[in-house]
Amino acid sequence: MRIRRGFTLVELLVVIAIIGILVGLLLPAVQAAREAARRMQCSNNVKQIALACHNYEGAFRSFAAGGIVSYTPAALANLNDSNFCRTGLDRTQAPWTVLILPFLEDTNLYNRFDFNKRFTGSSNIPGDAPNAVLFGLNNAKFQCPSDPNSQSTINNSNFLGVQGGGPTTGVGGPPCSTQLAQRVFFKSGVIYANSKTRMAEITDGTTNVFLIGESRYMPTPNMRSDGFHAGWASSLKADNAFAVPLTFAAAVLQINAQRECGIGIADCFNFVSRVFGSRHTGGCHFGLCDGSVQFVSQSIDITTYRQMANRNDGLPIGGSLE
Amino acid sequence: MAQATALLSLFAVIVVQAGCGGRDGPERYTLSGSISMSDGKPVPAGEINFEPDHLAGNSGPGSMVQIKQGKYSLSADQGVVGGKYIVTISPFDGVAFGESIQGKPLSKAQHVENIDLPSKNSTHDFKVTTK
Repeated sequence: MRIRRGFTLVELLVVIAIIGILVGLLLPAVQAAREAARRMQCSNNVKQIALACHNYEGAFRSFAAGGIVSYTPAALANLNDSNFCRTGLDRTQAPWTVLILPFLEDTNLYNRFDFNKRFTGSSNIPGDAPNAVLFGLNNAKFQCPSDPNSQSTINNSNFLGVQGGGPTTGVGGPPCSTQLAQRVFFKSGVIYANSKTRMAEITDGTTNVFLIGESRYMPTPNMRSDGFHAGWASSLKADNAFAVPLTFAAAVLQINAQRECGIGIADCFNFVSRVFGSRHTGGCHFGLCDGSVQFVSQSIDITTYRQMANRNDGLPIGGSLE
Repeated sequence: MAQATALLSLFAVIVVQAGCGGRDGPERYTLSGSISMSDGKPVPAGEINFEPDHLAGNSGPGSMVQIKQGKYSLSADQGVVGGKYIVTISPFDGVAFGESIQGKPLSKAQHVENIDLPSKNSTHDFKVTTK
């Protein structure tokens, strides 16, 4: 009688094949689990910032101004709703991201800013000391871990205020814009230039209006060959023909409409003010005015999406414009 | 034994396919074509936006793509759903000017056009008539 010792070649091959299949199944699952954890951390950051905005509102009776900007005396006389973003912009001061710092347990950082001095918009128009130096610091509370630009050495921000939303042109379009409406300023949201939105002004209901949204379009130092960049502590970029808001944006383009921006692809400064997006699959996070956080799909109907960015359009979600 | 292995791997492939497949949202179609100025010259740079015309009863996600040397091309995942659309074009000259990488605008305002798109992959050419 033949005594079997060890395994035959076929048996070994079968075992190896099964192990191979199991590892093949497991590897994508591990990657997906890691991304799920990053996404949860991101959603938590949005929640913390939304709560900080609410605590600011509780203390000061209005949401923080998107960015404080003043005008030259000559410009003030002729200032109107269609030229406020590109005429006579003078001093740029604190953005909402810095104003809410005490409510994010960052009081020490808050106290290092000098609120009587100018703040940096983009790096080519530096503010005064000490604000220009603080502009370059990283703040992980404003970063989504899924974004490769969210490193401890980069002052990237993934969370922008929502200044409103609408079509690129015509009725409901940006009241003021530069670069053929690639850099837009709205006033129909909650966080915009010189805003002072009270809770009572959100007449569409706080559950129906975006407060902050996730972005992947902040111009970081590696995004342009000349290194012009902005960050979480940026005020408005107020150089008239090229003016653009940097820490608040509008719902103009579809979520994730632009895949990437950077050297040789597209200028991030032309996207940061009008499109939200994320590295997560299929959409991005929004913090709503009631303090909740929702993941909004990138295939949402564009009209519904834009309406959710407006605080007082008087329309139900998905309601007709007619 | 070889048959069992084959069956097992087939099963694994089916599981993986079922777990990772499926897209949400409406069916989207590719769209491409050329964009020229009113004098026939191609638009060197800029961008083109497509949004479903809500007032004409259309709905769905909007699309946007960069113009490259007078051509544009929307892939299926960023594509159009068909029906009535509002198209806006921002033409630029493509020669870096100041901090603007895409150069100076070729018109004072965006070019706006209403079009009707089929519910299939298609092509459409545009002419920028806005001064």
